[in-house]
Amino acid sequence: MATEVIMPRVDMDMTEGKIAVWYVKNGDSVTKGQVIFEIETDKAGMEVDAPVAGTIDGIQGAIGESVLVGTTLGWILAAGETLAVQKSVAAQTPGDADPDGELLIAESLPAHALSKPDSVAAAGKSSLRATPLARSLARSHGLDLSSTVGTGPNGRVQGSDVVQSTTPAPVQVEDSDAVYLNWISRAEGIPLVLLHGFGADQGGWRNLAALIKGVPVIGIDLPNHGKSKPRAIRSLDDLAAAVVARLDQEGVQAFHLLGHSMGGATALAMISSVTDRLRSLTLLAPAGLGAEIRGGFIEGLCRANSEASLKPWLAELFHDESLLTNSFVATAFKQLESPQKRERLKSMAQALMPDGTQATSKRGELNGLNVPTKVIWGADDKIIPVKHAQGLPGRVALHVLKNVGHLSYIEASDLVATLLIEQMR
Amino acid sequence: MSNEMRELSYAQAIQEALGLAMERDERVFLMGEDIGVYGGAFQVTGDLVHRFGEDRVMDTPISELAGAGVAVGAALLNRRPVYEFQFSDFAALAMEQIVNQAAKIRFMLGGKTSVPLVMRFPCGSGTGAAAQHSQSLESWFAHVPGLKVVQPSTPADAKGLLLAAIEDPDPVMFFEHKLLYKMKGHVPEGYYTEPLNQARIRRTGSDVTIVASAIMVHKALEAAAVVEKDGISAEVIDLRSLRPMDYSALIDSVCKTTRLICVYEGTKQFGIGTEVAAAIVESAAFDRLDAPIIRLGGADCPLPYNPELEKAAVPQVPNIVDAIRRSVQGRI
Amino acid sequence: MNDRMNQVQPAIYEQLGKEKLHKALRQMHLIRQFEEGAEQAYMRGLVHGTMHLSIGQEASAVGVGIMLEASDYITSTHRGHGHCIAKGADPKFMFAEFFGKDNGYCRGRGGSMHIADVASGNLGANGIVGGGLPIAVGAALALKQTKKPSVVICFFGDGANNEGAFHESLNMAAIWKLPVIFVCENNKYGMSTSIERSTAVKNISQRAQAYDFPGVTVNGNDFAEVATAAGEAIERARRGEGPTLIESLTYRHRGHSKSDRNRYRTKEEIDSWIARDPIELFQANLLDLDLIQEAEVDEIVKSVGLEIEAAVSFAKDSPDPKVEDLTSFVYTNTTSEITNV
Repeated sequence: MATEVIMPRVDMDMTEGKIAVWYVKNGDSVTKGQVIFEIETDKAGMEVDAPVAGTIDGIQGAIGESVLVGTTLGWILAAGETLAVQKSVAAQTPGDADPDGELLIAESLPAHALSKPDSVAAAGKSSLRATPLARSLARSHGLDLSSTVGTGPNGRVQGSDVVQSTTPAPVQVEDSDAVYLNWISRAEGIPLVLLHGFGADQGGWRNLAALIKGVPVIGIDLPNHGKSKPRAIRSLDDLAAAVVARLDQEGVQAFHLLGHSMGGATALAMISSVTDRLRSLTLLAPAGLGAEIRGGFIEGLCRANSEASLKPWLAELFHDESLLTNSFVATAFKQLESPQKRERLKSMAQALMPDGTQATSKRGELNGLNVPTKVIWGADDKIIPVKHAQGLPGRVALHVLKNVGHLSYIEASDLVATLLIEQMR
Repeated sequence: MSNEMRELSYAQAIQEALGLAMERDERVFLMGEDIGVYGGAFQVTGDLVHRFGEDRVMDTPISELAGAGVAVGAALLNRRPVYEFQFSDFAALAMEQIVNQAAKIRFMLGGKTSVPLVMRFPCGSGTGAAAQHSQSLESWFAHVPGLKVVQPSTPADAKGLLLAAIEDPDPVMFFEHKLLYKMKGHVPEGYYTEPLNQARIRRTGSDVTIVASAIMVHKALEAAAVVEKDGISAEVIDLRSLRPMDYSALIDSVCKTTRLICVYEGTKQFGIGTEVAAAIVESAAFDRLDAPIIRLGGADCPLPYNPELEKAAVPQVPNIVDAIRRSVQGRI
Repeated sequence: MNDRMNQVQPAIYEQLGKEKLHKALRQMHLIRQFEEGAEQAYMRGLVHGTMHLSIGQEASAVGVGIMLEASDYITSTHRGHGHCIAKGADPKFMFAEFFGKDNGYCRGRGGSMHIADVASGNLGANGIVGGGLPIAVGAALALKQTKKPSVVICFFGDGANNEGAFHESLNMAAIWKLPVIFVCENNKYGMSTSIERSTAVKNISQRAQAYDFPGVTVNGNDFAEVATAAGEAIERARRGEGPTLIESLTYRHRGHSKSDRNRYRTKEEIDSWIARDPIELFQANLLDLDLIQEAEVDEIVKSVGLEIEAAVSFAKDSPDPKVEDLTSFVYTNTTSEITNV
């Protein structure tokens, strides 16, 4: 049986290592214990020896290249084995992920846990960090821990985190048309409802919500996203109706509304049915104001079947690509990890943005809207052009942010929070 | 029996127990090195030889193996020997008779007899006696079915548990931490026994359970007082008995506090805390754990001579304080 | 006529009387047939583990045993079937124990090496070489403390005489003048190591000098010699004069255990000892001295055969222990038994 050669962890705190020297090449015979390469770590150099005897093949990993701990650097084949077989074995794991597996959405997951797509998928079930107490509390309250913020080390969900999100106990919605709604934070007053963009979910609002203290915040997963049930969506009006129905069910009367990208378009589509309930409207780079949209982006998103292939598309969202963290990629990939999910998103995209163009314009909805309205747009948005913001009614305040891409709530979170707070005064 | 409390040292409490036992039951007799007119290496037997005579307070030659075996033989004929090892470390010389004979005779004979002996072991470090005179080997014995293993932490418990041990029809290994011999505490007068299978909650708390034995109980209590100022409420459980262990008390406590720290002087690996941790994880308390279990045990080396090294080799109050904070503040 | 006819009747025969002599002969036959029966059962796969047979050492066991009262005690070794029978053990409960049955002497928990019957003074065979010596001393101490006239016979082999426990025990018995008789059955080999290669002294009985009490070497295959020495030592102990060491020279016909290939001794040596079979010697002696008739001998042999046969049947039909009782008998009180989490 072939044996993997990996970048080993040799120090307790080591996350990556550089290959300093290769002592063998493809096709060489090695004995068990023979030194095959040397690595450089933060602490000192280290010789790495062959775990078994056999023939080395499939060496990858250039000298001086930093690779994450656990990365495959080659294979040791037993007699009669060939490399092609091994590669296909390694590639099989991503699709086998358990669709119900939980991935902790945290900024601070150790890098090596996310170095390979197959490791992420394989770790799906077990990479949720939660204490036994948190898990048993979640079970007894029927809670899904993957959306619970963990305040323990490495984002571990602890009992107190679950207790907070269970007070009061969430409404159990068994409706097959269920749209998932999460009270991100509770407080007195009129709640702020957040609608995410295509391919995302309400979990991405956590940081922004944390910047807005003292305001009740609701995150909604649009149909076919996050925890919401699959549902055929043929138009923005479908989306709007689903969201409004859910808010009704939740007993939310008056609310502030914020929508990003496709969520922005949804918000626009909602206006006519919630005019007297809406207290303010904030749109972040909304779709629905014009025809253009970076269609390639949507396609690329839906096609990606590995984090590696997703990553370049996600980079387009940012003005500053260095802000694209591994956990962002992982989270985003989570939305796409099963073929069924991707199919549903593709159909939705096809309905809303056929052939890479936005099907509907909702610009008109802003006319006659009599509540504080802001549109916030990154000047460097590569997905939906900022020029769609031109020509809006005078009552709409427009904020164009230099050096910001499509995700202003990440790249300029403080400013967005400040503007939001002004809106809700 | 009078309930009057007065202060005795741990050593005095043991002496009192031995005297009461010998008065009450003529089958009880003591054996050990230098326990007669010398009064015992730690002055525990004191003047018992003058009260009961050399036939009942027997000085033995330096022959731990035979001494232990003599206790077995006498116990088989229904005497009640209490054999004192001068240092627990010397148990190694007698392991054959303790582990292969005393522990197993009842079982190997299908329950038709028993071995009602007590062996007493001065143990523990802190006196500069170094590697061969400072060990905490109680785990060795707790690992052996057929033995009972007891470790009192207070003078009152030392007396009550020793009297119970002497009454018990099975072999009891009685561990006395040397640094506790001079510790004073309230000890009831008269004859009384403590159960050989019950832990005691020494301090109730709600944030973390600390399970300890012998001198570590006192260090845990000190640590609990320190962290109280931080608003942390620690529960301290005195195991008292390693075998049988009072698992249900530990389980109930951890279910309540959701966190566990084990503090023990014996080597950390394969020690008392290892058993406690595993037992908790196997129990209903598992679903109540809100932090990793911490074991604070002896360092992985023989006990050193140098006093600072000696202290560093076993858990101290600051170690326990730090562990409590890490556990409760979610930093582990 | 052989020279045995000229022998004077040993004084011990007169002391014991015909009835006890017959009892002794029967016991020796019982031990022999018991061991042979055990061997057969083992070879047929009825016995788990192994066994250590004492075939050839019957006079050593019975010579001592016949001198004891029911209230005396023995400790024995892993090669202790003979000692147990000499102390009055019932073969059927011994076989039941070998077959691991619930009504064996140890309820199937001990096996061949741990046969005991404390109630009848048998403190047990012991699986540890030298394990029984300190225990015997402790029992003797208890007897002295309770001022009983009983004694403890401590059987052990030549191998044990180099254990620390041997030296510590003899020393303690000496300083406290305890009523224990140390009987070393020297069959010339530990497991495979000869006495010449393992022991610094020529005669084990010399070692008593180191502890300042009498030591004597006897022909362990001569019933009379053994019984005489044993009798003297027992009386000495009962008088409160302390321990004696008896070295009983004998030989085991079979290997150490069932897996012994006998590589360490020659066939000639084995054969020469078999020719000096203690049972045959004793039996012939009694016949010669007209202390028994052939017919009585035949009767003994036959009745022993039937007893052994019945014992094996009894054992085969006995119940096995219940698995639910696995952890029973570890402790005396159920309330203080370990409760599993």
